[in-house]
Amino acid sequence: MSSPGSPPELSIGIVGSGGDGVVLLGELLAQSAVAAGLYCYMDKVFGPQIRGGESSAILRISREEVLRSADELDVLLVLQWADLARFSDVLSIAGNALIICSSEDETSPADAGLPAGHHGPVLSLPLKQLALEHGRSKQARNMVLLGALSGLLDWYPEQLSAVLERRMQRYDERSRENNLAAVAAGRDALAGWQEGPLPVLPTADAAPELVLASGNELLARAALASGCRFMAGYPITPASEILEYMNRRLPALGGTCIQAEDEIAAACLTLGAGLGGVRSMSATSGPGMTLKSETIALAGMAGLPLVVVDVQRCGPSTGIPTRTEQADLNLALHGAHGDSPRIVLAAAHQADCAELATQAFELAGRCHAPVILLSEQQLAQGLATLPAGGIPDNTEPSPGWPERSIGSAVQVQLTGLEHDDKGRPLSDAASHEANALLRQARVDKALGSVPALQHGALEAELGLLCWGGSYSVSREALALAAARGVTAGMLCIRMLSPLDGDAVQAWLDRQQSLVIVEMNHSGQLHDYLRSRLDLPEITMSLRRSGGRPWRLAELEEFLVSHGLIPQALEARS
Amino acid sequence: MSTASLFRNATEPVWCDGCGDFHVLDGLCTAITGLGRDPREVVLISGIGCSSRLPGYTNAHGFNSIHGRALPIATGLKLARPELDVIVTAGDGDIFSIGAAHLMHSVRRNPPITLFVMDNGVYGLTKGQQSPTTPAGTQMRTAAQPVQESSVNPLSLMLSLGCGFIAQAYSADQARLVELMQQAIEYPGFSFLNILSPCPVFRGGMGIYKELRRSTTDLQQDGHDPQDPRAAATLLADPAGIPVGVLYRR
Ligand SMILES: Cc1ncc(C[n+]2csc(CCOP(=O)(O)OP(=O)(O)O)c2C)c(N)n1
Ligand code: SF4
Ligand SMILES: [Mg+2]
Repeated sequence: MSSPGSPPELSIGIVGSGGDGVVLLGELLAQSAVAAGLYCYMDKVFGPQIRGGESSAILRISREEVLRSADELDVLLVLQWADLARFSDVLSIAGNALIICSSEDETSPADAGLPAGHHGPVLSLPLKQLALEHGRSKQARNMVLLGALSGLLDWYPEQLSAVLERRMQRYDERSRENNLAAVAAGRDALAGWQEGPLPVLPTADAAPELVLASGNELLARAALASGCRFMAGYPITPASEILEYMNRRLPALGGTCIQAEDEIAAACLTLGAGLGGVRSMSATSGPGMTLKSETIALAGMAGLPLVVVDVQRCGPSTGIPTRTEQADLNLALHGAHGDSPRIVLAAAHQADCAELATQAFELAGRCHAPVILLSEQQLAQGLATLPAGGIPDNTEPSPGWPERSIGSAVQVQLTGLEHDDKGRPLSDAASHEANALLRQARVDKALGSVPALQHGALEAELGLLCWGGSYSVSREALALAAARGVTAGMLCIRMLSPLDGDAVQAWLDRQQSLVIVEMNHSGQLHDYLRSRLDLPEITMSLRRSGGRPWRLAELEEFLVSHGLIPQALEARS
Repeated sequence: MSTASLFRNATEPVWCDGCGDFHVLDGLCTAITGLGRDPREVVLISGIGCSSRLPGYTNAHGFNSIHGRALPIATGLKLARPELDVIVTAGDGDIFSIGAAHLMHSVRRNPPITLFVMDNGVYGLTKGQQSPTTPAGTQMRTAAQPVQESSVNPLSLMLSLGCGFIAQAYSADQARLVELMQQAIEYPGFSFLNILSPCPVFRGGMGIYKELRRSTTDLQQDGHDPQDPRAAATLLADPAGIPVGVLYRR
């Protein structure tokens, strides 16, 4: 299948406004590439407004597994130049990138921030006119673009028509015809264009059965497969899709999904269902997480299972609701009054959202303790490619959480007050100390059950240590270091509490130098590890606030400027 | 009361002498036993406050949770385990102040749980601050000046929210309290019973009992028809005294 000249990958950016169908266009491209046996990653990056603002999709299509979007775009599709300006910090356009845009635009590419050095083809066509004429609606501009690009690059034709056909089944006859006519109009508009070199599509050697899924969907599906039959939540970007998914699925499985009046109620409803022995969870983002902290402490005090998902976004306060960040680690680890131990897991990539959701339910039930599962906007809303069998789909009857549930012949008395083993209030200092130990011991039962992800050399000149979504870029940095002749290794910690200190220390002791990579301003993981472990003498913290995904170039620059890896050969000459 | 002893455990309540909550505990034990419930099929969920200690004095399952959050916890439990009788026992601060949002949405969701508010018109546990049901003009022990804010009328509030069962009792009138508790527990939707349960330590001294006995009037003796929401509204607009009994039942 693969032609000898097939490049390893291709990266495409699409920008427009909310309602322009940017994400749909991205999904159609992604799904057809995946159907052709290629791996695809698609970031969804939105403007600061949650609705109606600018939106962009950034795709990376590759012959090998990819877990993040690429640093530079080979192709840029522009519905409206004005929207590009909003993404100048996210989209970096290759000098020779192919650009397809509208000829009816009032903003000039230069005004929108197209770099002066851009020398690739810029093909403009009357998107709106073609959309109105053939698609019978301005809305069909995305379909015109799809036709233009797919015609020009010969975009996986068989797979694209199958994907389109499946998608069109949702529409009525008329809109179906209109949309397909818009695609054809776009294709015709650029047919025969031959004035310059065009990017070449990667092709797959084999056609593995692959599927695309977002972290939120994977998390929700894994929760169902783990027997979750109750969810309460309060809508919040970027966690809402979990609530929406569970709302669609739970009733048919005999479960319950509630949109609560606020996050406090959501946490309490979830705790109450757990008290009744039903596996339950709540999902939110930073602001909601703050509201849940009193209930999380209660679960720890009363020894009740509680699963809470925090899909992180830029904080503090409302911050940038649509953009990714990893700055809730401190909140997850310590966000409550008193000594309030809890289990904290952080997903490293999309498939890990599913794996750790499964673990979260197992651990909450086994340890009778609160479990916080951290995800991030980028993982939660971005799409990654998985083997077709990789999506959890089990809907067997739920085993529940019977151990501490209320309503059996044995009386259960629980309280948030310090108490004895029968739930009777206590107020002496000695019992308080003994119980603090007991609460920690409950959480410590989880120790070692979610191992860190380790790659590269064990004994290394350079060790990269990270958590959560910094995993994918760190892996690429690892490969980069190795390619430049540096023995490098990496560790991504997935269970942040209880921290398997011995295992992490053993790894640390074999690194000559260490870089801790994380996407927050204050270096939360760095400080946490420094307070608990012996870090190598040469330890550096590579950190910045969120707002945009990592670029490999950022890590490269850091490593080169600190003398940890040599500069690229071509840069030297 | 020998029948009630099945439900009552041996723990000595921490309440002050003369606290109205003793009567509520007695009443609840009698009511539940009278309904023939097994204590293990009953779950009492409370918040935090003097009143919220009640579950720990019974042989039922209990959860003395956190301030204001008894209602959502109880709702989650009831949805998970519909076969259990789930009763919230909480204070006026718990329900009408810190947890007020949950009250409105509990009425909307209408889970078949029962809410008993032990309304003493004061924050007992924190020693005498005003609560949402403290009448304006009351001089609290801890305050420089009398209460400025107008008070919440729990019955009007619940009527306006559209609650299907709204009643009020006076803790020292045991027989009537037990009757009303039983009706509330048996009601098939979300039911609300406000129980005037004095805190003689921080609101009005022991004299408050005499005052309440004098000023309460029984709705059913007065011929009020609980099925008629308009009659309920009219009555609340122009009360003859402090109403006791079923104000509204849908
Ligand atoms: C979040 C929180 N805020 C404040 C408190 C302190 N607190 C405990 S009980 C209470 C008020 C109790 O009043 P009420 O609910 O009327 O119960 P009562 O003691 O009168 O029975 C307060 C403010 C608390 N426990 N938790
Ligand atoms: S302070 Fe008031 S409410 Fe609390 S126990 Fe004493 S009398 Fe009862
Ligand atoms: Mg009170």
